[in-house]
Amino acid sequence: MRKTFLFFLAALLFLLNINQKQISAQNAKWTFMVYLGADCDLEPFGIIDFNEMESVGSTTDIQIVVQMDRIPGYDNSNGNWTDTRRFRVVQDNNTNTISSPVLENLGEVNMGDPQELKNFIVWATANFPAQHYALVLWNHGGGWQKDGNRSKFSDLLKNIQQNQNYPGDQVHKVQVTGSSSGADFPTNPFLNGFGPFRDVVFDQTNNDHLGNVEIATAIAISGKTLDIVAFDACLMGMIENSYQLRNVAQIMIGSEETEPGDGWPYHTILADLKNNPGMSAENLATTIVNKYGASYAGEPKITQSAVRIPQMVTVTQKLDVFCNAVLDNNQVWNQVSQARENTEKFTVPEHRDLSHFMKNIKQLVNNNTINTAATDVISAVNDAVIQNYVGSGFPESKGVAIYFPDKSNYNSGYGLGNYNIDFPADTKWVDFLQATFNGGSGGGGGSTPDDYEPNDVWALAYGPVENNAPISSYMTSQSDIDMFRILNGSQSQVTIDLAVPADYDLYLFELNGYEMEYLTGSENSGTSPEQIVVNLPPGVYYAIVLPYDAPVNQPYQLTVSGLGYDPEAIYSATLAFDFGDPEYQAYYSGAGDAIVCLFDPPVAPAKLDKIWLNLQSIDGAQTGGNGAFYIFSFDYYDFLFDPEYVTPPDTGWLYYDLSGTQTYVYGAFAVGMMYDGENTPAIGYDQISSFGNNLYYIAQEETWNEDEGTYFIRAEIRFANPTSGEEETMMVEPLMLSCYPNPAKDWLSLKFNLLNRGDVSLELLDATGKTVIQKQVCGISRGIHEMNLDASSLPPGLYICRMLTGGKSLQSKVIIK
Amino acid sequence: MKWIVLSFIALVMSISCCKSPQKSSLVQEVKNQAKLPELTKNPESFMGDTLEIAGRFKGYLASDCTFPENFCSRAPETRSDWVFNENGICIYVTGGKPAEFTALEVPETHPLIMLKARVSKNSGNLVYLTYISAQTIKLPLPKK
Repeated sequence: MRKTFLFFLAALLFLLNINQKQISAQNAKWTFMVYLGADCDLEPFGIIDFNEMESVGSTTDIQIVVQMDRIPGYDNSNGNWTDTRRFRVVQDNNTNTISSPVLENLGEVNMGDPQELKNFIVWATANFPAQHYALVLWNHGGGWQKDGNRSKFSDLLKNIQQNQNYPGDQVHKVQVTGSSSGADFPTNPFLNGFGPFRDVVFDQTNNDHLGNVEIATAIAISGKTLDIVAFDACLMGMIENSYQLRNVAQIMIGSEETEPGDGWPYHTILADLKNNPGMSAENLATTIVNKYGASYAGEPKITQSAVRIPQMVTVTQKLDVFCNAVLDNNQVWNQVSQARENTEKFTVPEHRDLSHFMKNIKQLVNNNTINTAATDVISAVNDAVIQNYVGSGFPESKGVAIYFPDKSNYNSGYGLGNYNIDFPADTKWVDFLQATFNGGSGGGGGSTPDDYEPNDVWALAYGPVENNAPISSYMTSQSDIDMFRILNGSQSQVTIDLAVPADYDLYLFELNGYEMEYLTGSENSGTSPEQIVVNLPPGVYYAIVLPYDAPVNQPYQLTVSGLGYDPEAIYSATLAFDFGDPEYQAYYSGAGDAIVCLFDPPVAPAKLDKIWLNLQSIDGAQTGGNGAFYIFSFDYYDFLFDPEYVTPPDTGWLYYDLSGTQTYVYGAFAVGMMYDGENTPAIGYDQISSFGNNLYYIAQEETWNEDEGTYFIRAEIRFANPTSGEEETMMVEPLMLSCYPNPAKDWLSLKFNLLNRGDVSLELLDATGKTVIQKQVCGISRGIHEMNLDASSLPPGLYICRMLTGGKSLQSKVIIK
Repeated sequence: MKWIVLSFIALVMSISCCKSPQKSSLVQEVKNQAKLPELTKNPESFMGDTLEIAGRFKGYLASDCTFPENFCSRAPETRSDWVFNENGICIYVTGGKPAEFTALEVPETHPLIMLKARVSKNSGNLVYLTYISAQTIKLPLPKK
């Protein structure tokens, strides 16, 4: 009986396999891929939408394939499964029950992982090849908006202050007594609440999401160029998103406004496609927009648009011309601010309709050059938009939104490249925004905090300043102070020029070991420009701009020239973090409590050499413990080393030596200590409190305090100098990849140049195109990098080494001996 | 002379970093606000009213929520609707969110906010809130 059953089962599987191969063998006209991330509170709507797809079902001409991830706690229907499954959607008339057969059960999958998106695209296109491909990303969406927790991170960073009183007392090395990366260790705070901005496909179980750079990279790595990439999600109809997809898809569909919970009407969309499977990509895009609009007819706050992605590059170019025209004119900032105020905004008010803004500009600005440029942007948007639906609440919106905040809500990371997206890096839009903030009355002039340049402390000084690259900024108040980090690579005469609108002064400091030393200053009166000319040895310097009894909110320009460059130079710097007041010492209060200090190194990459700690007391709370604790460090993406269990030999200054390791940081990072549940050094940060993780217990006052404390933690780094010469080289060099030695044996080195910070996938493909080695690295800084691949297990032959980053791909041939 | 100014600014910055923050009177203010349980008992009497309620911003994390009877238990209007919580009772909020938080990434400890919102209901007579504004609340922790 059992053998019979097994035979029957094997036969069934064989037939199913044949059936799938038969399906695969016939190329469909369309494969409609839905990446249905229902691992969140939208799960009930995911069930509804899946059933809408089943009301139509796949045919030989249209293959509807779904990867759906579910979650406990929201919708118990349909067996309440909570893992991730792949389906070919088949037709049924039951609108409540999913009956399509499961083709693959993947177990729990992190839908916010770009690798999973890539896997889905590869699987769907391999098993259901078609003439055209549409990919729908189903979930929450945020477009490009100010990220709250990012701001919180920024606030924390603002609290970092370089302290000039480096430890004068005895220094000890922390003894490492064991290593721990156990399950009890808290998750990486950067990944859990402090993460980099992500914008779609929120996976609650894995606390992850997909950023638009990740989406572009996943599609690029899949090797497929898609006809349509669509977002059944809120707020994704933005130029920042379509521009990011410019190398991997032809059409993008998204909504400028939020979407109703039920999202797209898949039953009507797919019914049209089923009736006319030969429809072009533009026709399908038009159908999607029209059917979406029809399903919410009469509701005012509804938008949906489809855009030609190649034409969005033209929109970007025309927008750049507009920005330059306004910047060159420099007279119409009030009108610009007023035009923004008059422009239709969405639930996230920093999102504004681009065409409407240009229309308002034409009404308010009396300048032919600017008006012509605005007209060109409007025309380019019209050319790019295939179809646009708006409800009565958005009569002027034309289908493309743009990030256009006022000054008080501006996220400086947008322009500083913290989110890796290409649009702000490739255009003058950020310059335009900042000039609007400076000059406009409605755009946030006045005395709002210096959000654009939060460089009021040493650790957050802007830089490193590029050689001969003017920086425009402004003072927000009489007490504002702007700091700029300067790296000089070799002995040279350096000139620092400050063009001022008022009586602003200029000073130069040197980071000398652990202290900041004043070198010289320029204090001319009135609007006379300031200048410092000084012969500087290699080192780290800081230029400071201060207003002297002068009007504020006026733009100034700082230019540093003559910087020396020595590619072999190595510097060391101490990033300090303490408020220097011994009264503020905090106790660990329970397991999981930790102190986390955030550092922003002046350059990247930097090699983390030592972590310094100051313990006022071991077992200061007299719990009977020995003061041992975990020490850890992490950046946005992961821990920099496995958390170590350490037992300090003494109080006072201690250091944890990493100089023998290859621990690199590529931007802001954190260093922390965590109570292990038994022992109690007299310092702490209330990590597990339900009151916001920002309280410190003050030993002497026996009270809790907010956002204060003596964080006796410092990080010491070493870094190669990527100053002026190399920076400039990076700016002009194209994306570069070289693989050597060639022929290679046992190992292969891939040297590449990144124009922007981003994620990189390095791959080795054999002669058949199969990936035999893949190495993915997240958050690599701009510049030249080198990584080795182990090729010792590969058979001799011809291979392709390939780099994928930001939707771009480079490859070269290499022979393995 | 200006060097003195520079030193003074540096000194002020240093001192300001070490000062104890002003203790908030928000605790009392919170007590004076309308409470969620009163709303959940008799939502009809609040319909259309604007309330100020203290509670926590939970973003899209609603799997551990208890939604009161006659209240929306799924996003009522848009996929960007988020969950407001007080003492385990959750209500969906639509039409905006606190600017300083993102619903995509909510810390394990949900931030305490003072929410100003209008009581609304959908076509199925299920109740939710329409966002007007919110302010983050920082409360001193009791001595441990």
